[in-house]
Amino acid sequence: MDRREFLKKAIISCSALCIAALGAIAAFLYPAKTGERKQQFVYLMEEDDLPRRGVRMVTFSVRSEEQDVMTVNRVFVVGGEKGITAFSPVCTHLGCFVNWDANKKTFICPCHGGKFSMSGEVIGGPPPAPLKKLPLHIENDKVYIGVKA
Amino acid sequence: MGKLFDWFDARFHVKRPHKRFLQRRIPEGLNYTYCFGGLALTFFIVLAVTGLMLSVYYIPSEKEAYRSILMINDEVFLGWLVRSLHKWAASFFIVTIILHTIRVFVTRSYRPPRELNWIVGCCTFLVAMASAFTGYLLTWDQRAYWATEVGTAMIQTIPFIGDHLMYAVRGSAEISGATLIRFYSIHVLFLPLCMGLLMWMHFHMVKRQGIARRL
Repeated sequence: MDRREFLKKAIISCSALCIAALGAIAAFLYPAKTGERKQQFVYLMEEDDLPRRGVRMVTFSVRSEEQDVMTVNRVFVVGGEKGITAFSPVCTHLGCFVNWDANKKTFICPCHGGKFSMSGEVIGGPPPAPLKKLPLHIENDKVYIGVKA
Repeated sequence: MGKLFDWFDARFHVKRPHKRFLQRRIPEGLNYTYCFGGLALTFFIVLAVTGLMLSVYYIPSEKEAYRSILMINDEVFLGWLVRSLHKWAASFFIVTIILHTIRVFVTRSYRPPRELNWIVGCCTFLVAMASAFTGYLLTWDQRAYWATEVGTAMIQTIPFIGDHLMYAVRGSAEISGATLIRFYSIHVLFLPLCMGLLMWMHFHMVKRQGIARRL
């Protein structure tokens, strides 16, 4: 092997190493998966306070044990013909919180004008999917809501 | 002043190797629209200097970030001014880059042999936009939070890799302290480094190729 050929091979190997290192760097920068968040039921409200007909926004706090922080969340509790449903306020478009417009009987997202009906279905705007339903659990006259934390 | 500079230059030798850059011929008929690129550079320098100053007081943590911004505004001497300069220079930086791009487009200065410089310029613009986006979160208030929520949620709509990409950008499933420190690092280290490299390429090519003749 002459010098020219040696240098050529050396440069190719070094380049290959650099590309391999890029993969390692990407893997380093990708955040470590924290354990799957478990669903837990937290106290939401008294059963007597559930809306028979209509929409009520309820706030509740969740304690995330892993990160040891309290977060305050909100949920829309909707009473209708099919009983009680709890909707996540997170718009399925890009994640803003929707508001309930009582006059128009519509959930409206302030960010890009997504509209959802009282049953969570998309009735206008860009959202690709209906509002997410959250599980409710009633025990001893108290209502609990299932959230991931 | 001239004597002082000559004394300095007799030892540092900055004039001669840059003579071609400092004393070059420029085509006839140039006008002030040819200044937008230089203006953008000026705003970048303002951003770099004020950014360095802000980084001394800013604390990129979930609990301290917003408070440290209040402190910069209210307690640090001229802190409000430095922060305002950084904010306004950022806006004008983007605006002057766009104006510069329009000028290059209108005068068709992107044509051979300057295609690569157009591409490098576009990369500079993308890095500037990324800097603006990551810098926006650092104030850590409601507006910053929701802007980043929406901006990063858009990444999720990319087919196949969207979920992973959003997770990588946020550093966690939701926007959290991990996102803040990630954005801070990108904003003050990664992107300025890219920007420095791209700007060096841009100016190197301007120097070598000269300014395009006016149409």
